[in-house]
Amino acid sequence: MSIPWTDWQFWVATVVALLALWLVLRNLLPPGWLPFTKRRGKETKASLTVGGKPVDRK
Amino acid sequence: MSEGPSLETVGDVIAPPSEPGGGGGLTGVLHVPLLGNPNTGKTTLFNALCGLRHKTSNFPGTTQEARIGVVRIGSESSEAEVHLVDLPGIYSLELDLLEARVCRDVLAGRLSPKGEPIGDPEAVCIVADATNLARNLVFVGEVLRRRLPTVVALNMIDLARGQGREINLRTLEEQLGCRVVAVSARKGEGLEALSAAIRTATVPTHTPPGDQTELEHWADRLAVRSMQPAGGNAPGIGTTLSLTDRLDPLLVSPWTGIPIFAAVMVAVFYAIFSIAQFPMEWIDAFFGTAADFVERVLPEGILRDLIARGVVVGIGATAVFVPQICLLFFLISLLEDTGYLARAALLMHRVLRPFGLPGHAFVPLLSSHACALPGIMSTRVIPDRRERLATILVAPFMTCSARLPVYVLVTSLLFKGQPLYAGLAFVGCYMLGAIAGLFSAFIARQTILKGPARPMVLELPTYKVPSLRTALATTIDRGWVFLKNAGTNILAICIVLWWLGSYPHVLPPESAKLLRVQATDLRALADTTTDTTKVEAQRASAQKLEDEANRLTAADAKARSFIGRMGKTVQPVFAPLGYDWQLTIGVLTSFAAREVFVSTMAIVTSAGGDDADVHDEGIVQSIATAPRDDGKTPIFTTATCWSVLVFFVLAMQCLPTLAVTAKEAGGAKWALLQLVWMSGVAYAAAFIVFQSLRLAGIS
Amino acid sequence: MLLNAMKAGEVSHVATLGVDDPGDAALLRAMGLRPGIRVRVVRLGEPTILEVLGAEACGCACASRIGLTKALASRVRVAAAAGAAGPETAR
Repeated sequence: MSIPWTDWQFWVATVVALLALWLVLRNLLPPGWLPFTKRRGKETKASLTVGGKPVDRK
Repeated sequence: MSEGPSLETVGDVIAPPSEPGGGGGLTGVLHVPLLGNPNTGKTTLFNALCGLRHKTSNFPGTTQEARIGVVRIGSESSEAEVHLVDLPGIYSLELDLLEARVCRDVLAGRLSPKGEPIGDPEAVCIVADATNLARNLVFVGEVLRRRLPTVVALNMIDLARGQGREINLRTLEEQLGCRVVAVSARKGEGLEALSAAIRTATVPTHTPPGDQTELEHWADRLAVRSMQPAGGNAPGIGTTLSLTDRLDPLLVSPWTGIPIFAAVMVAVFYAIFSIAQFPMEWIDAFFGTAADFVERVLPEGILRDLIARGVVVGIGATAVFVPQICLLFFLISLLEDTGYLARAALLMHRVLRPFGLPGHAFVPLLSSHACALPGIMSTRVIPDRRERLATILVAPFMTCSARLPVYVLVTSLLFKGQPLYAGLAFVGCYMLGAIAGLFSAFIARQTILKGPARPMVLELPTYKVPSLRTALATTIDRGWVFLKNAGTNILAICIVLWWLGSYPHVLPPESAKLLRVQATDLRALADTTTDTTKVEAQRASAQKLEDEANRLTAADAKARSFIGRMGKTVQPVFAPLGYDWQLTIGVLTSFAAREVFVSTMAIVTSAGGDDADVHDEGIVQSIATAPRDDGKTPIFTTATCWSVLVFFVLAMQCLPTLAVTAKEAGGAKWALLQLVWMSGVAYAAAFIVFQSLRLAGIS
Repeated sequence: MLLNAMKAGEVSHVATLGVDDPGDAALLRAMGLRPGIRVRVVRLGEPTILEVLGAEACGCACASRIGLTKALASRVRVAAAAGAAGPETAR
């Protein structure tokens, strides 16, 4: 057989490989795309002030 | 080294302010930010107080790094555990810069490093430079305005003494309204007194002026009042030039500065490559042995395969670079501590500015020659956001250590027995990478990152003898970050590639079966031969046949595995560059780690196994002569070699780097841009090289 | 007069920082380069190196060294050295 479906070790190895793949993609893709990653909460804009006076963000 | 509270005033004893609730001061966990101007020795003080143990994390919502160390003060019964947070050095709290904002938020109790609770700090420690009192007092005043329990650490007191200045601590304490402790972080003076003072810190009794100009005058007056020259003579403005005065112009002007800089860089890189070789060989050998050990000890099966060929190889591929990276950071830290790097940054500003990059970019770009990962992380020193992004995007163009095995392989194929040409090609590769990076930065700054060039202003610290302790702390810090980041990514990718390269299982090819049959026959013959001289030869031949069979089986298995099929499918894309399907597999797998290219080519061409050494003559020879499908043309023709070399110089083949780019640049889109741009440049360049050589008649 | 007109080694008071960008101006000021401060030129040109000596009354006690691009340095106006007019020329 070309893929050892009946070998339990194969399944363990495949799960490990899938976990590894998930780890790699998690670092690359924006959060929320992959299952089990937190979707970043809606980002709110806050205005920056210095000593009470608004400052221009450059 | 002084024990206990250090007394710097003229004979007076300072009594600690009375503390409600007992003489020892606060107990429990105290969160204390440490802040100050740059170049005040804040980091040295942090290291001196916390030892080499500290944690590095982030301030949530920013790319700003936070270092947290723990200092235990006091005895069993009343102990305080101080979580000292090293904040970035800033010239003023009121500036519109990320670092200043982080400091303001921490002081206001709105921000804490990841893992620490949010809330007002229990105390604040300001590090001030005793040799530059007036300016530092302005910063002290800004912090005192926040009305938190504050302690001032007056650092570099030994240098001030050396310059003939005695500072009246009592006057300072009276005027500031808080404790002032004289310390020398470098020498370890005053540290205990400082710890005790942090515990007993109180809200300042005065508030400095709110208006910035008034604050500056207040600081000036206070500086004058606090300073008494030793022996009553004010050190006047020297009319003779100091050493620094003579040295700085030399280091900073292009005619003298650039040769000096080049010499320093050559020395640094030579040291790195030569010294790092030894630990690299040990690590290589260690992981080779580890893989063998696993194969012997574990029962045969898929998991054994995974561990020996996926996990061990994966960890080894990262670990082997740790010596170079640690050495690079160690040396850079020493150089920075001396004060030289600030001068070099000024010098490099002229070189880098035409490409849209600031002088600050040169240390990150330099570090990227060992590995882009820590290089990109050190772009944090670049103040302007667009300039920083441009540096991050092009840093991977700098030839990193991982490309070296590929260069070695291909130049050996091209220039067999001609080390001079091989060496020149090597240097050419480095230069090609740097030039491509600079021009890419130029293009980026003219298009998507268009913006004014920030004028460069930089403080030039006094020259100092570098601190080994600081360098060591930095090295451990950075080395660990590299291992964690790169290590996890490379390991993960090696596992994935292992899986793709192991399945589906195939039956061994006919040719291998034939060889095994021959080998078996030969062994049977050897067993029955009476002539003892022939037996050894027969057994040896049998062994060779079996090795050959193994290699053929491995090569066939690889070719028909998932990754092999991917290689064959993708190959038409790379055909214009002169690559066949075997080379395509090599290119694909080197996305895990560039150095994996060598072992992949060795396996696919059945020249060797996973442990193929690029310095092994035999392996190189086999790869050199390995044929394509037509059976005649070698895979590595001259034109193809050049094409491969150029491709590897320019291509983005490092997933850990992409991950760090995404993180530091603040978005996956930057990593995608980096990937697309670099791949495009690499493809185009390799294409041009290959086709031009073909047109010129060189195949 | 402009900073560029000074010679290496000369000391003068900073009068104004004619820097356009408020962020850059604020940074220079925070680094110690502000009106009334005495500076000594260590090197002119690209880059310019200045030794910031502190206010008049400070004696020579506080010094730090700043390197900056010629473009910035050329925006700084200075008044002649010790004994000259008071440092109160406002920005």
